[in-house]
Amino acid sequence: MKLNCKTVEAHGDVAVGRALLPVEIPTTGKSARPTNLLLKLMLLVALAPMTLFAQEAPAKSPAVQRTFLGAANCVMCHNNGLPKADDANAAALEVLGFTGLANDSWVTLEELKLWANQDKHSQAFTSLLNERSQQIGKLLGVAEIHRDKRCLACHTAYPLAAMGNDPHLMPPELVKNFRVSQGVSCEGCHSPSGDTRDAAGVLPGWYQPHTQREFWRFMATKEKREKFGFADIRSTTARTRMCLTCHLGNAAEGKVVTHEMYAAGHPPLPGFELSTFAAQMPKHWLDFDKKPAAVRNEFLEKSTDDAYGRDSFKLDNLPETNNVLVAALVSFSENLKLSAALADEAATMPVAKPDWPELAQFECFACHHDLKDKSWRQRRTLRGAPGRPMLRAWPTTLTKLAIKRAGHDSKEFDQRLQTIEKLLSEQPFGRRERWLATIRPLTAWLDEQALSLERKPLPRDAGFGLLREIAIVAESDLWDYDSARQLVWAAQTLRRELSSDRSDEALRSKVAALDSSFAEIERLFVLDLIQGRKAQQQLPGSTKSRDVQEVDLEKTLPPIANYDAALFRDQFRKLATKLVPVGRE
Amino acid sequence: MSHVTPSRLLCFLAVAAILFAASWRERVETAPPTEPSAQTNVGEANAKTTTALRLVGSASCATAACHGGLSGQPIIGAEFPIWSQRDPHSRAYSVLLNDLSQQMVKRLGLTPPAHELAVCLNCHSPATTAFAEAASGRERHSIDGVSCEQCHGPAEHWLTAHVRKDWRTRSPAEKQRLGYRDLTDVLTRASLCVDCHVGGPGRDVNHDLIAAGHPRLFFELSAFHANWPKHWPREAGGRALLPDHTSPTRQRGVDQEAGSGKQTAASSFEAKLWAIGQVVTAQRSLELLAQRAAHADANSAASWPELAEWNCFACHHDLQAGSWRQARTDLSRVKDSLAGNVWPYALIESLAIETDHAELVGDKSLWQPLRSLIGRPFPPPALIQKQAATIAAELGVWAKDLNQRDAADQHFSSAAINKLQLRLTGDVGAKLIARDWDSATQVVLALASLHHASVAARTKKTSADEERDREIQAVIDSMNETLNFPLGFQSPRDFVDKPIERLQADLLRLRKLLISPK
Repeated sequence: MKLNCKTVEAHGDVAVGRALLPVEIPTTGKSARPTNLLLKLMLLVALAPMTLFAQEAPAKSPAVQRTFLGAANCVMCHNNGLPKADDANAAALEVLGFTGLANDSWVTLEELKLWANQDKHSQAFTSLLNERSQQIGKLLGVAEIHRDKRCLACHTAYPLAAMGNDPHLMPPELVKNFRVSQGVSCEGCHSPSGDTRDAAGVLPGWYQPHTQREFWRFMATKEKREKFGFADIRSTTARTRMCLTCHLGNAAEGKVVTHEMYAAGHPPLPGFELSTFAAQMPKHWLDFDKKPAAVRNEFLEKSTDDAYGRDSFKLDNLPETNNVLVAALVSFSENLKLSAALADEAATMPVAKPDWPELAQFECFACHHDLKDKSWRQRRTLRGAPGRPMLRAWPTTLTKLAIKRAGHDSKEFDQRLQTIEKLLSEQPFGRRERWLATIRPLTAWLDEQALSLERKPLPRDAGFGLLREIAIVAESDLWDYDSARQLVWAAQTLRRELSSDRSDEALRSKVAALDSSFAEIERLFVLDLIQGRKAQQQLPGSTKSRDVQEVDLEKTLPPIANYDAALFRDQFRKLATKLVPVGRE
Repeated sequence: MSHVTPSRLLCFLAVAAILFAASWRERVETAPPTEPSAQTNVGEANAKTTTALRLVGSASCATAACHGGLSGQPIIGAEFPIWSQRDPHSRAYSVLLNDLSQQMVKRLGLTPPAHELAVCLNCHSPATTAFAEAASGRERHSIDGVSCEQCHGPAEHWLTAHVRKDWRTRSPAEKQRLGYRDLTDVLTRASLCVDCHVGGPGRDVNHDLIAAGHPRLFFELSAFHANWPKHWPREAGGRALLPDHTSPTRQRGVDQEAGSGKQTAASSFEAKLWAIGQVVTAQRSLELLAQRAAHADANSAASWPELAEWNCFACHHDLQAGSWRQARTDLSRVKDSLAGNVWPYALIESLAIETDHAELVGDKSLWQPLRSLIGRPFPPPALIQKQAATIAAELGVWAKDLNQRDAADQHFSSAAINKLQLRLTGDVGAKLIARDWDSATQVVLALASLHHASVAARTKKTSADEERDREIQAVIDSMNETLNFPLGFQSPRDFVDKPIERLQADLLRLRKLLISPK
């Protein structure tokens, strides 16, 4: 088994070298050549229409991307599993080059079932057709808001680069294309999978190679990314960044919810917490500890992936909670990068770039609250100068805990935080020309910390101590709604993970003793972001409508308006009293 | 937690001191305000201050024989006790010692207490500020707050003169030369009030101060004037404010001994006060905007964009599901307003139409360029400064023009007042009420003032008139009630469909009362 495929030379993120035809994917032995050719021909036919769209890519994005194939190409294996090994069809597939594929529970092979039925990502596009979106379009002066590229950047996985040359609108004929209307489908996160060909040759996608078990499963994620454009979302930092491109924003990808969009009615983006969001999505993958022991061991034996270190795959730790902390660092860093990109006159966007200052970068509820007598806002610790808007607060709430776990003095972090607050205090919204110089060293530092924390598994026995630290943060100040919710989500994740340990009955009962306190705190927030208002939507071109969950602002906004930070603090204080330090019981 | 660096503070204080010095010069000379940003102003201010007039302090006025009389004297002779007991101006300084003031200073990261900070004292006790020190060896009249001489002028030269018998026969210009301000002149009075109640050089209640806890400034001259405990019995040219025990005849509508010799109908004072208040408030607000914009370029620690230049409640509202803000279909509701601060400009167009100032009305008006500039996320300061100054100058000319008119003039006749009442109770008023709380409140305050003006203008009163006046007043009271903030809030939390409908229904009732035959 030898890799014949010529490597793609990478320069930064942009592939400058190209593999030339023919792309050779190793198969298991004898009939390699003829089946390979057959397979290529099949794929060529399948990909032809997409290649046309790809060629229309506007000059704005010079990096040639892989071709977006759409979920239809995934459904054959990832909806209802693969044929059983004794199925007659299995042999036929094997001959056709689908080698070594088996239902070995490395992945569920039923991912699309979850995605289509429960995962709101599949509703991302149709939400642009609902009443709220129509009104947003009216206020923004866009007749067909579901064709507006500023919306589509997040509301479909279909690449902006393949949406024609008009700077603002997607061509009308693409509306009925299921690749667009299926919303955020597989390739939205796993990245476009098809080959792209042009005069320089072929840029190989990952669709074909990923059907070769032996070749694919044990390849290093870095290699998968560099050779075949397969996004690394196994790494927590990389996965968080992927989610945040939409759930926070990413200027280079054209994914920015502007203040204008919010003012027109876009629901406020809730604070992002990786473990919680993944659980609510729900997960369509099996975490390492959920995979069968045999495939785990095989992986550990054969994998060439050294990106995370073997420790990451140890079972006796708290991976979800560690994800919370890693994602907190990444969120803060990405938030700063986004604000820097919007302040940087040299940074371009594939859609219309909003004017600076882009108000949506700042804490929404710092301004958007009715003026109350004796409000908790006047009693909390002031961040920056009064009346000068600060950046969104939620990405900083858990960061201090993460920094501490990464082995740093939290004072160092406080000082770095204060340089930002100072910059935003000097003048409302800061001074854009000084912004980049201040942000860059900080984001580089944060990214470094995130990477090192990702490689430092959180041992199970540190869990209860961390819960105590969360409680200390929660009761140390008066937290705004979004920040407080980050603390609740973090505590919930930890509690979930601790109580799932069947081997330690004492620990489980200790955690169970916190249930009533948790229930009191949880009442203050909307924590389940999936439950909204039930509605029906029809995909353009489809004859049937489907059930969807629309964001219900009647449910999500009043708890923010009525939120009392002092009550949250007091209730967390109650919980904290139950967390007696270990050894003093 | 100090958020203001020492250098920023020094810079701030220095600028405040310079600006205040400049402002004082203007005030003493009652010259139109000029823009004090260049360095030469320091020299100029110093040169002027050597000739500035000295304050003598309110103690000099408060003797029992003069203005400190007992309460047996309802007004004349009892000016000092009225001021010290009932007039909030007398507490201007002492509020700087309260908890809120201390809290504000702490939040702003300033070290000296509020009662030693020029940024506070410039309004709360002007006699104590750095300028007073430069001018005449720091007068210690701080506890006076805003006392006699802040409005009537520094008494150094007129203190003795004004007790002489010939004082009444002297002309306003002559008194002015001694430093005595002619407050019977409506424009002079209005210009003086807005020095603090709107702001100016060295006196800037900006978003920083408001965020730290200072109440928002929203000044409407005629309403403030009506609620002000007055220490004078009647207006020159107006009827008595209170029954004057010395001369029942003075209750009549026409002044019998107007100093200027000009016969002015009572209606003109009320209507004029409202109109000039509107124009001067708008003018001074624009000058303040120009001043803020000028500092945006000059000062690296400037508050620009100045958030107080936007409508408070455009941002300060809880986010609500199904908000009218997103349900609106009539986008002119947004575009019609100056895309910024609404309060000072809400009724300027209506008034401009009635007083023939077409250049301030409509899509091609002088406002238009400023509107589009201030609507940008980062309003360009240099352009804003220029546009704001241009319009302010226009408004200055307009205010002077209004000030020269009297009741005989078409602008302040009973007919003119009625025309304006009908405009504000018609479609224009209904639209303004639906626009936002600030505009709605301005409409209701205007209708109250105009109603008082029309009552004052009436020479004969029938019982039917009185009945109708009571009904009108009841409708205005009901509208005021609707505009109140909900208990526990400092913002119009529920100012959505129902209150607006209620106000518009009241507006219709008012209109019917105004046009119904006697």
